[in-house]
Amino acid sequence: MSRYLLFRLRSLIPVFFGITAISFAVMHLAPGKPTDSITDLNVKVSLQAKEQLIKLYGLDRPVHVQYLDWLTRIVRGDFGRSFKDGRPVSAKIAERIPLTLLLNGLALFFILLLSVPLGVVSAAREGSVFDHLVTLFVFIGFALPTFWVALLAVDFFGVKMGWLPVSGLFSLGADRLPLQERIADAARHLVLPVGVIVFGGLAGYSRYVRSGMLEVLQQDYIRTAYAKGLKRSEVLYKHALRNALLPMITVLGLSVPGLISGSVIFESIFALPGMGRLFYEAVMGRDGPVIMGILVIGAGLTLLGNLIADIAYAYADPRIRHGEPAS
Amino acid sequence: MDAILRLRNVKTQIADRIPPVRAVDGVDLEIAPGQMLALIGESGCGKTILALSIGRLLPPSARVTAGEILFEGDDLLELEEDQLRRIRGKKISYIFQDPMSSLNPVMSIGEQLEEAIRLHQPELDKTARRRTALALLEQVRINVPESRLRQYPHQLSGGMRQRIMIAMALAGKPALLIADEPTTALDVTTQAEIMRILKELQRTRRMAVLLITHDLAGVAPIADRIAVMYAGRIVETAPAAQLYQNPSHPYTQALLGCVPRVGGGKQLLKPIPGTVPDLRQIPPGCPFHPRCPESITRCSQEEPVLKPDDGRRVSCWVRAP
Repeated sequence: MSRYLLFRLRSLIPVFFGITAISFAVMHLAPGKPTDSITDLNVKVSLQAKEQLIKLYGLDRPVHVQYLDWLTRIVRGDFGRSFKDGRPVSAKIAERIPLTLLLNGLALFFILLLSVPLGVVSAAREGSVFDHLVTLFVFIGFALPTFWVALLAVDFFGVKMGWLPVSGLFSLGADRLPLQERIADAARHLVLPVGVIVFGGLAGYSRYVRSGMLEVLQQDYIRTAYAKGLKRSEVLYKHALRNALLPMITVLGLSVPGLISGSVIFESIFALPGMGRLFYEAVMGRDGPVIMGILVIGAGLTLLGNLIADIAYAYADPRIRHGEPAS
Repeated sequence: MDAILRLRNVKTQIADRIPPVRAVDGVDLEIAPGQMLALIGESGCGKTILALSIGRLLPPSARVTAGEILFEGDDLLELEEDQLRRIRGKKISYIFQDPMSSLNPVMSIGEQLEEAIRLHQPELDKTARRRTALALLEQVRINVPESRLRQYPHQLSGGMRQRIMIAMALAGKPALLIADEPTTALDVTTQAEIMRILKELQRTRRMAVLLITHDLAGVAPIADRIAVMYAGRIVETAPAAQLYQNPSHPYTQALLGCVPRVGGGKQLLKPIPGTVPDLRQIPPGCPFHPRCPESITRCSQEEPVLKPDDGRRVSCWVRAP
């Protein structure tokens, strides 16, 4: 097990460097210099001042030197300072990331809570009315772009019905409320964004569970479980689900980049002050250090997700845990 | 007759193909308590479907369409799913052909074995369950049982896994064990070992065994009775020794002609001409008549039924008209 872990960890290192190199290259291929927004739009800035600024940020040096310089700094945890307000990028990300993690954590929790039983039941009753209804719902969920669903939800639940707040994390003046009511206020604000992410994600996950279950239910050991005298529910949820969920672990690990990029959209629509919106603002404001910082953090989270999935898979599947080929 | 299991005119069809496959086509069969009955037949003759019909473990596409399966007086086909569940594993246990795929790959041996014990002996506490599990493993001659409980199916050999399956099947102290080609997937030395264990358990536990196989020579010495199946029907049943030494039905004779006998000197093995009939299109009359060297006109017109013939039952117009 520890050897397996070591092997996995080692394989992450080149991937991480690859990601940083590509992120850096993309930033540099973008037209213009990061200093342009400060200098070109301001008539008072002289050519001399412009060159000084370029020198200050080291933008006159060769690209590989800049990359290595940047790399050595981020390895030490120094992501530089934002062009916009001069605050350290790490501090800006640190104050935004908890909300993004909370949002995606909640969404993932509800997606799993709903999609697993949905998938199990539609597999157990393959071809039934229930199965067909779920399939229909799933394809609607697949087909609708989630940002559009989000806008519709804002319009319906927020504007027409007035049931739920549609933007921000707190109501105006919520900071004067006692803690319990502040939490309730934040929860109300999260219902729509989490709901929309869950609706978008439910489709795929319940489908994975369903197809996994259908495959597992054909296996000989399911017949053995019935022959033992187990109840149908025990066969489904104990014997079949444990096997059917194995591929789900990998799918979950691979879902991290989708969640991060989804955050950019949802946090912008719902005006939530998370890392996704910070990224959106940074891109719009050409705030290079912040963009780079978030790309690296995002890459790190993705790799972490994969690593956790690998470990969880090994833990869940004894055939991998014991380092022997699956038979 | 005080048979523990009695099948009457059982018909099972697989309906997802057109025309439907008549996998089991009017089978009559009896097993006495404590008896070992071997059911012999070529691949594709419906043996496995027959075995699965008894415990209603058939795949969704297959269905028993007619007949009675009487077990201790109850027709298993009439029971509610819930009542049947109480019989499965408790009174009728199964072991299957492929021990590689018949154990759950993500559950430890201990977990799977103790699950069966908890199900059928709920009065036992945790330590007693563990003790019972170890005792069962010893009965199927598994060495170092303590460490086996912690292992997973992929860490064991095929023979070991099949013995785990047997131990699991014994957890409910069943009156009938249905073993569906338990040795087909194993190597020859392991096959003999599994057969010995089955015979020993049948004797010591006075447990009836329905042993399904295509290995006539392998079961002849250990079975009490043998039933021969062809194209979804029983064509001959007889005490094992009698059937082996003096087969009556031309198909049984032909089967034995394909098997080399130990100590028989130089022998000419005779393959059966033709092929196993497609169970969607079973020939009219006696299903064996197109391959039968002794067939007469009647064989292709009328279907023979099992008739008593000197201690055995044969369905053949030539042998038992």
